[in-house]
Amino acid sequence: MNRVHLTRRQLTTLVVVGVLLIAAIVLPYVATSYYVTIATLVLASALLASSVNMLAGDAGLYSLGHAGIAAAAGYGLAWSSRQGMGLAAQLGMALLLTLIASVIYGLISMRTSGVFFLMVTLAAGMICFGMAYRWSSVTGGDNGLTGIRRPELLSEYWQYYFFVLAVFVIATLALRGLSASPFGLTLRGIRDSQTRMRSLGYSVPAYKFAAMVLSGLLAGVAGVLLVWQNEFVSPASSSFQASALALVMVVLGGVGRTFGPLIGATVVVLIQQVLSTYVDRWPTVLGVLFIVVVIVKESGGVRRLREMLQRRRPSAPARPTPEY
Amino acid sequence: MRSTQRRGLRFALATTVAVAGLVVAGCAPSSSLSDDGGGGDASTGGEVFKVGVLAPMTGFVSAIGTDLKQGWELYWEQNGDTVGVFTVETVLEDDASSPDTALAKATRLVTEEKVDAVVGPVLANQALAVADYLDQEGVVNLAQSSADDITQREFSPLVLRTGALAGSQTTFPGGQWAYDEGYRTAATLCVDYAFGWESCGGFVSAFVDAGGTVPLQLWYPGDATDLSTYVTQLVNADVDVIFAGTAGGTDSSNFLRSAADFGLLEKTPVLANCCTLDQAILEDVGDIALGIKSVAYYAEGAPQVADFVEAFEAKYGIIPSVYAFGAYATAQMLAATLAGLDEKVTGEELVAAIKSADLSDSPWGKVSFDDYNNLVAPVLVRDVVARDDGKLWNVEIGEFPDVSQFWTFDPEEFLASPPFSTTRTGQ
Repeated sequence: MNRVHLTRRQLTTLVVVGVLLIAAIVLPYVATSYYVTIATLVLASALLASSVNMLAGDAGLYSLGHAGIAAAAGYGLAWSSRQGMGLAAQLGMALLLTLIASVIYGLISMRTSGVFFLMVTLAAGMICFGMAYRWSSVTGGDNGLTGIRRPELLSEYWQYYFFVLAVFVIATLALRGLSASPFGLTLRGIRDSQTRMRSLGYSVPAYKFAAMVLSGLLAGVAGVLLVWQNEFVSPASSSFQASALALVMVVLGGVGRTFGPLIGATVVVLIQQVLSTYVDRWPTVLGVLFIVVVIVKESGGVRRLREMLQRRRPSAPARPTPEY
Repeated sequence: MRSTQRRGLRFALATTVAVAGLVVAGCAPSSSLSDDGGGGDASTGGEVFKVGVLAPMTGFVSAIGTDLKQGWELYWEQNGDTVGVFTVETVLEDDASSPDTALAKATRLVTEEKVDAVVGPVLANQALAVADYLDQEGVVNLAQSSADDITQREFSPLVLRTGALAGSQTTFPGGQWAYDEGYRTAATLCVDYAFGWESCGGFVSAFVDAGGTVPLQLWYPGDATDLSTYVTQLVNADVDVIFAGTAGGTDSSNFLRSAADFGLLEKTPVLANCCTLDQAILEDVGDIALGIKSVAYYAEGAPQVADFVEAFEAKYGIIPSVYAFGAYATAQMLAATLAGLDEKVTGEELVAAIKSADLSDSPWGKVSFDDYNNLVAPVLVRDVVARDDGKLWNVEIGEFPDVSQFWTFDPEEFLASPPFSTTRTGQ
């Protein structure tokens, strides 16, 4: 849609992104370590939300189990780190588990859509949680795995912040590229009409499977980053709540929007970690906010707000809703 | 055109609701204790000793958070926040019952508030994660969680468990007590995660070590709402005693109700862990709990905590739970230590000072610390009785003094074996 209004809107977007990027780079020089840590958490959470957003935005598939894939990667890293393996082996193990998890997610969900996809991914997420919770000889059970350390080069909080920022920028650019590619176009086609895509000769399940694996890989990256952030992993990282929060972030920021996950993650993390210091009933704030955004939504509260501010009627018809 | 207008109206309405919601939530009283004017009298105490308290004020164990906060506040209210040359200042943070939030809040306490020590958190996974972080930062952690490994396989020199005993430490004496009562066979029912494994692990290893046998062990999932199938199996089991290790939530009430309904309580004696018969549960299930024995490190009706229980009841109108006791005892221990110091010391020195402080007034009774920073403390055998006013509480009917977290086993051998689980049950 951006291509239609090439001039003004894209210019504004560019300026906003530039300002944000400069602010992000300057942040560690002006803010205290606590706020830099929170910013790192925002970026890492936004990455997980981005992986959900990719499926939701392009393919119209809403996953309620992505934290399971992220946790698989996290546990792979944590377990091999506890076994005394080197960095390459740790990352290899994380990648292996991510692939296994995403392939399983993909295989069981590729023939579903809509609410069935949601239920299947929810179930897969619960299986991941169950394994983390019960297989205590490997995962440490409810206690989780502690004592994981970041690589030497990232050990300082600000080093890690820049690393996560770089990963986030690269991932966001890659996602934009993917969305604009023929693959992304095919996914949107599937979202809008599966039957038409099938009659055009596309293998819908194969595309859904590929999309799930790609999205899973990104979730795996987020999983590794979150474990490095906390230097700890526990079943809570694969819980239903973690998956649901990722989806909440996506919805808050606007499904399918490039910076939606970042906005959503900022709001959620700030309410959860910062506002909760000052306000007892912070879960109420989050809940009310979510309800309001869902009511207002259709294609994201942020866009609507922007339109209000610019006092402009939507110039294009609202995005087609996914066909269930 | 018309639909867009309506949408705009709807949006404006929703925004108003959102803003109103934020305002209402924003007016909620702040939970920060430092706002209550607690740190006001800096005239006598020179140096501020800042303590961060991490408690679950929201989330699925929020009831514990309230208990913990009340226990902690009660001590400083009774004794004033000036100890020797120090003024003790508290910063309370809500850890939301989640390990990730607990870590973020611990980071805030250390980097923003620059606290000298952190009390809490309660849940096992939170406690281990926060302890690991604080250890790196050189900040002392006064642990309130019962997870065995805090002072065992994940032992760290700056972590002292002052507000609880280890999970299995409390139930070892249960196994010995059951054997001493003449029971020779036992069946167990424990919740199927780390806390339940530790509860059952302690009972079973001591019972088997003494010479008993455990032919039946059942585990139920933590979110099970109906325990009747498990209780029926226990009713049909031909054993001398049942050990129940529940998590202290609705599962405990459900177990007690099923046990009463299916006649288990009349048929076979039941011995429970601490939390099955904690105050919240007693209030919930009422008289069916009468006469059930349990093992714990705290009994509301025990003479050594009478002053604390009386003061707590006078202030909050409820009998204090085990978590309120843990926080109160921690505050007492910290105050006893600070009284003996003339200036701020490093984390290691503070730990050494607490370990060597005079803890004779402690509501714990006679306690000391072992080499792994865990308390060697009395464990009580308790019985549920009704007070004169009809309220139920636990009274002490037996005591095992100086119980170590390794019971009678050799620490090194104990630590070399894996933690308790459904595969390592202590048999």
